[in-house]
Amino acid sequence: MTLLSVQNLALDLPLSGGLLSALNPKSKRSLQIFSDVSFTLNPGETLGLVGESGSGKTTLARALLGLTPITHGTIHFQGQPRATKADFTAMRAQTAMMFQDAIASLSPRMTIGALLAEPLIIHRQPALQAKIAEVLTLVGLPPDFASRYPHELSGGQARRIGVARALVLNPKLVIADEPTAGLDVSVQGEILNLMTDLKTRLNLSYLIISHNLAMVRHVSDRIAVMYLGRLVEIGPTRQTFAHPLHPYSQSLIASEPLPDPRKRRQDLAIKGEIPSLLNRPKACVFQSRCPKVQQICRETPPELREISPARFVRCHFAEPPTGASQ
Amino acid sequence: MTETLLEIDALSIAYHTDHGKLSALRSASLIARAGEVIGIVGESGCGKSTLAASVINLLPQNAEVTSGAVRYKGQDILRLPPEALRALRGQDIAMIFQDPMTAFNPVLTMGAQLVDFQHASPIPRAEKLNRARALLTRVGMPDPDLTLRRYPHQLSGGMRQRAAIAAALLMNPTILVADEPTTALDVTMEAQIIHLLRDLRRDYQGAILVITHHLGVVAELCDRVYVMYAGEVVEEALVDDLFHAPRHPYTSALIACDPGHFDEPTPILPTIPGRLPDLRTPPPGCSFAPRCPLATDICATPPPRVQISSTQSALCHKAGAQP
Repeated sequence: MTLLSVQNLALDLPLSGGLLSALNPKSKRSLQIFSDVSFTLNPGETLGLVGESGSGKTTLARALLGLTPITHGTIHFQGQPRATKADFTAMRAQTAMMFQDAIASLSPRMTIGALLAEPLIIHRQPALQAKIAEVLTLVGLPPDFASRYPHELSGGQARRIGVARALVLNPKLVIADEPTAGLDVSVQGEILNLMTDLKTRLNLSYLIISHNLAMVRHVSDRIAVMYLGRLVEIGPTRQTFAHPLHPYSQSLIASEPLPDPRKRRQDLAIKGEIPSLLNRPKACVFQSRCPKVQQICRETPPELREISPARFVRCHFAEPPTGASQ
Repeated sequence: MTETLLEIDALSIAYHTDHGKLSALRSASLIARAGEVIGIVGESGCGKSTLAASVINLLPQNAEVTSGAVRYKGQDILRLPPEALRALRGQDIAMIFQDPMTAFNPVLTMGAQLVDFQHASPIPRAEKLNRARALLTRVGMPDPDLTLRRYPHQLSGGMRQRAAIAAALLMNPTILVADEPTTALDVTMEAQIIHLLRDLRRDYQGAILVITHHLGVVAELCDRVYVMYAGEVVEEALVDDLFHAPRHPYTSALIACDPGHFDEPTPILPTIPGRLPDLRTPPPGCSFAPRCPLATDICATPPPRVQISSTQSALCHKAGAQP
């Protein structure tokens, strides 16, 4: 059974347009953050969500946990539809979020012990010392960390506390927003290895949001590429990296600087920049930067279609990967 | 061999903090010649930003230069009178800062600021504006005239970084210091800025110093690399040697940790166990020894700088023994 299933999710935010539009209610404008987002997540699976800033990744993650109300679409978690506030409160006891800025997400006036007890108290579960010691040990920190304060932690330790805090309610699903942003490369591996280890031990599902392709590639089973509020490609990580089908995924993967001077890229994979949400292109969102753009891309929005088993792509011209890539 | 423009000679810098004196830079040396792109790479706390700040003498108040010198065309930047230093900054040595968001004044148009940056130049204002326009075109701004009328917040991050590069080039500096020039940018923007910097070096006669923690940026952009650890330059090499024949164990470990380095997904990523030494009391021996897989008893004594070739050296007891 799928753990999380999302169908046609859309989110519009109203724009406050100043005095004149306040007088004229018909002119109410809204900004489309994302739309037509559909995907599923299985138990024990890691889905990597990649995209550039402004593509809507973080807002999508917040919407999945009911932290931002959606405009359209359905969210099912463990087979149950989640729509009302009560639904999401019940769901949040079994899901957890690791926030982007690990240190800022820890209140500086609370001890680590109090910070770890907080989710238990909110969900009316006994906040036992033993439980806190257990979860600290789980993330590889000594139990006496419970009496420390966040400013005493290094960046890597703060991340570990972020993991501990996410796991204290024994969730089924963990949403990790940029779990390694700001960490040195030698510490980044520790956090990812810890997350991978805990995933197998506790049978967790992860939704990992990141702009770091190299990292996502190593930790995800499947990968979803987002561009300007649309999922443009979803597929198994290995196949997607070997043969990306959407022109945007292709340029994104080709743009990543490789740590090998013998593989310097001489041509520029992608020109221009992501358009503002206020100037969202009609029809295909990628048309303004796409090397393969045709008239149809400006007229008809492409649908997300399954082009070969388990591989979905939103492009008029995408073709199934040739050869034995399956 | 071309002219040496900048020489950092056994520079040591300490910061006075509430918790004692912190040795941020310990006897670091570096040479930059005309036409070179130099990479300075290391993790947080390795001293790379202190090194960058010393090149333009923008060290914070609590910094103390304990020994060494920074020589630009023979004169010691760290001991110049303030007037001479002002004449040097921006004109001979310019800096591209990490955060393009805060590099510009939010209440002035780009045009006003790009003209202001040329205050030391005797040419008339209209010519300064022309020069600003020409450089914005050079760095790939789609509509330079419009950009000149814009305020910084009206530009995207990538565009602002392009403008910052144009601003740094206005006075045609001999040394360009880029502190993490792509860290705040998305990957497609990063690729474009790398492309631009690489393109600029072709018609630029000076030296470019790129400070970064990102090995991918080093590999894509630099000619020669200095690897820093705990305030010391632990290895110096040509970029190809650095990635294909590193001699310091820290360099090898750092390269091994980069997830971009694997072609196939790896379930367990390599890490460097342990931590940076406390720089208030730097260890007498090798500072990497506690984390080093090759360390033996000898590593408790100060390591020698082993010259491997005319272009490569490593600060390590074991560097000579390796193949």
